[in-house]
Amino acid sequence: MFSLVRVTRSLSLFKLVLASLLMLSLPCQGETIQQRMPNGLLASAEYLESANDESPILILHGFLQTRDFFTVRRIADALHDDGHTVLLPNLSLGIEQRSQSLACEAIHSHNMELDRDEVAIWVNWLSQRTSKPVTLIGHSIGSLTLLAYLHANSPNNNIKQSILVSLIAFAQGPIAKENSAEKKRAEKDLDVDKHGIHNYKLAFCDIYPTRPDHYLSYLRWDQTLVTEALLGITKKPSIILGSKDNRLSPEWKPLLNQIKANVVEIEDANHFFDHAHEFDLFEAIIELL
Amino acid sequence: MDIRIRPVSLTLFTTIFIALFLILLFSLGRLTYLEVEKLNSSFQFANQQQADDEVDAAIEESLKIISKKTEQLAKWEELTQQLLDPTYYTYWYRHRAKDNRFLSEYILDLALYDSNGDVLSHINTSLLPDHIEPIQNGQYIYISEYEPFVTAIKPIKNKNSEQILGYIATLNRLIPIVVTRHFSWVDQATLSVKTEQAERITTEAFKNHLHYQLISAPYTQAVQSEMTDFLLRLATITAILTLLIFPLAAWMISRPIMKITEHLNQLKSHPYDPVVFNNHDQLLITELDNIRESLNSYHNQLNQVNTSLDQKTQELQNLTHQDSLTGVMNRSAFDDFWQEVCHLFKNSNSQTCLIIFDINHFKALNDTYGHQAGDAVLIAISSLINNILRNRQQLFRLGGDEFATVLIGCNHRKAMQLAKQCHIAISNYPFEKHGIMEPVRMSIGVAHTAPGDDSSLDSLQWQADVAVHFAKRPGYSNIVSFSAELAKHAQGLYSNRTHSVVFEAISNGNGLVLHYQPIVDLDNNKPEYYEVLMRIMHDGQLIMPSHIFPLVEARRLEHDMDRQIIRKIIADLEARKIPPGTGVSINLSAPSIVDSELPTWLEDFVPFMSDYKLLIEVTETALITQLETARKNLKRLRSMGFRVALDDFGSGYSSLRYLGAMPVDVVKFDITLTQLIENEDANPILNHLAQMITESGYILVAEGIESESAAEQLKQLGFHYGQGFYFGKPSASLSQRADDNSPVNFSA
Repeated sequence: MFSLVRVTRSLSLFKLVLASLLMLSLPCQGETIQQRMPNGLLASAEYLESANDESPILILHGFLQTRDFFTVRRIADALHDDGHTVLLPNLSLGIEQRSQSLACEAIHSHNMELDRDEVAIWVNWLSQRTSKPVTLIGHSIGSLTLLAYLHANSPNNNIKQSILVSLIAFAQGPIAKENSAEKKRAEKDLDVDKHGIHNYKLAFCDIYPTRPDHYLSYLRWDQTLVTEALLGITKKPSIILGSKDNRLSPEWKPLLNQIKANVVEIEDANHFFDHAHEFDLFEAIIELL
Repeated sequence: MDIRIRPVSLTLFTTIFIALFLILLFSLGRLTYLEVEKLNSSFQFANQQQADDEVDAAIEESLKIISKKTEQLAKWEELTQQLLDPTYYTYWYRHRAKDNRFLSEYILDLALYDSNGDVLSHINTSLLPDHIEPIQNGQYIYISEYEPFVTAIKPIKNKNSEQILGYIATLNRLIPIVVTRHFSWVDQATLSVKTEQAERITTEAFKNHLHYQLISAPYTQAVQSEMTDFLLRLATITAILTLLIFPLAAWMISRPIMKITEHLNQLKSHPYDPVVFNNHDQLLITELDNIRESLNSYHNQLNQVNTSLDQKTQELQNLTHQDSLTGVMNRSAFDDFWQEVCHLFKNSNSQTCLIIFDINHFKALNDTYGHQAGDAVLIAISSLINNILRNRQQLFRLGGDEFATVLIGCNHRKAMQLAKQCHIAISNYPFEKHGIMEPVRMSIGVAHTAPGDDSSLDSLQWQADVAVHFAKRPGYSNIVSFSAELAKHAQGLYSNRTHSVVFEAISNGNGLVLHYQPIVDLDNNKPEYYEVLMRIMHDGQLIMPSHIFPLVEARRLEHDMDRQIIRKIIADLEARKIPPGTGVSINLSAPSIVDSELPTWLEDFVPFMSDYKLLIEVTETALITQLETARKNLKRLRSMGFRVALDDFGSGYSSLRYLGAMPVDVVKFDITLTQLIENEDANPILNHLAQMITESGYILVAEGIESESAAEQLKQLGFHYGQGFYFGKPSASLSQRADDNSPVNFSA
């Protein structure tokens, strides 16, 4: 069933109260949780525990980012302040205890599968810790990673619901550098030098040194796979998009509408929901929870 | 101790003053310059210190930056990624290590090492070593040939366990960091490192290799510039002031003083010139101008006083040099004039003539016609001669009846001609109008210097005296010119030898000898007293009175002679050469008798009056001119205890007249009278004369007794005392005692 919730500015009074809450609230001092990832590296997550009985929320950062990226950090802090237990993992991306965003030019030893598996570990940890099904919130490629996780683990009792903010696919939109030629090159490299490091173009990176198989693992998740995944998941995720998200391809929203995804569009917001739109985003998330 | 500092000239004083001023000025300038230099050095030192501190701080700060940057790198998670999985280290090193946000342009290279210090992978192009000692953790400076590099090594740790996973080493260029610091004192462009060989050194050692120059600190530069400008201005102003002030001071002070000095010198060299003040000579300094005006005024006043004094002196000189009777120059003037002549013409070829005029028998004229007539004769004669003399020729009255004139540049012929003119004029003069009823004649002696004979001037007076002496003699012309022949005749009388010896005896007493001749009591033939007779001993020979007195009288030396004799007699009295109880009879000349000071001279005899009888013998001639004065003096002497004897009684013109007028105790009959005893025809006169004088109360003394019979006869005539060769010749020594009864025998 397709439902498009259009949040309007009529809730300005609510926004004001929420803004006051956000500004007055102290930075959350969460617990850092470390888990050994499938690749053998330790990865960390910030665990912001809350006493209410709501579903704990796992919030996943975007491509090469960390949990401190402002979009996810603000959502996490607001939700925690709102009484939700929040877990903010950092994908290792091939780096022990990674806490820094990873540069495009760094050697990337991670791939979609590893990221997906790391999400699984954190979901398991969180559900075990809280003994409750987890609510997943992702941003951008983080949403895509969560979708990959949901796609690989459906049906999944550990998941209560998922909210995919600014969901995007690889090889999508005007920003995306990868193209079919790159894909072909990677595929060729895969045959020639599977373990060698090659420079590719991916997402916003002009230089993305990685192995071809790793590269291709991400590249697989294009619009087609995304729509297939969305369609294949039993618990349909909610998708929040900014009306002015210029990273998305023009056909993305129609495509989502076409598959009848649960899309919430926030007017005038961009890909990162910055400025006042972070409140709209939070409002929308609260609405969805 | 009175130290007299020698005065210096104004020029020297000014020069010394200027030199001292300039030295002082230079010293002050030098001192200021040194102070400024010291200040500059202080600034320089302070700047250097500041610069050193600044460089030290910059190096420390740069090292901290390097350290911090390396530490930041060590926290870069990609390093952990490489340490944990160095599979792609080489790729990472080449593509990623030097192209990331942690690097800076001054990091030349970096390398990762495992926990053992081994590089993760050897890379040929790496500037860092393949192995490091873990203990090298930190940083050190390495100076290459070109520039210093800092190698910083930091550990890379596990976030949780702090376990060292490995190390990162960075190679950093130091200077580019250092020069980005802000420098206030150091010129960054000059920062350089000098080293002879590449080496690894400590930070402290590195500072020694670092060289740089100071930037000119604006404040210091400004101060230095100001000080330099100030010094230059000071020097310029001083130089200008010196150039202005010294000439001005010289013009205002030295010039006036020099002018005053010049003025004084002018006054000194021309003391009698009146000072005329010119306006253009006005001095600029009031005080100096006042000084000069005062000097001028003083000088003019002094000149006036001098002029007045000169006039007075001239008047006095005229008075002292003028004969009051005749109005011609007197003896004193002659002596001065003669000295001047001798001084001026001593070594001159100019001939000098001396003419001496002597009136024949003037004493007799005086006696006969009275003093007024005598004075008229003198006035007339002096007037006649004066009329004949030319303007520059002066007539002198040498004394009594003697006149003289000196003709300069006149030869013998002209002198003789002048003498003749005078003689004729006097011969033709009608002296009758003055009551003179007999002809008045002149004896004229002429002497002249021989050309080229310097010594003749000295003896010119003597020559003229000799000439006039002979002119008076019978058989000679009334006008006699001195000649060598005359000199021969005059030898002994006016010889040069006698001349000088007499002068010497009278002046100093040298050769003056006193002879004593006894005057005996005719009753017992014992010496009553001794007459003192003067002789002069020279070269073992005696010069007799006949040779001495004419010269003494001619030179008017009677005063000196009498005083010398008096001194000699007193010395003999003191020496007891004269037997006490006797007496001394002293002959005094006419000028001495009429000298008012005579009693004073003779006061020295008073102490001897108790032991000796003292007689003063006076000749008639001495009483001629100033009878009253002579009378007063003799009265005074008598009151002092002296007795007065009239000597040579009967040899003159008016002996009885003098005897009546004079206070006389003793009358000594002249030898011409006593010898009348031998002439029976004259006996009654002598008899009556002696009787008359004796009865008048006078004591009679007979001179020239040469025989016992004469002595006896004179005794019979009433003479009390006798004197003559019979009783004793004059002798220099008295060996007989006073109470000796035997007749006195004197050895000649």
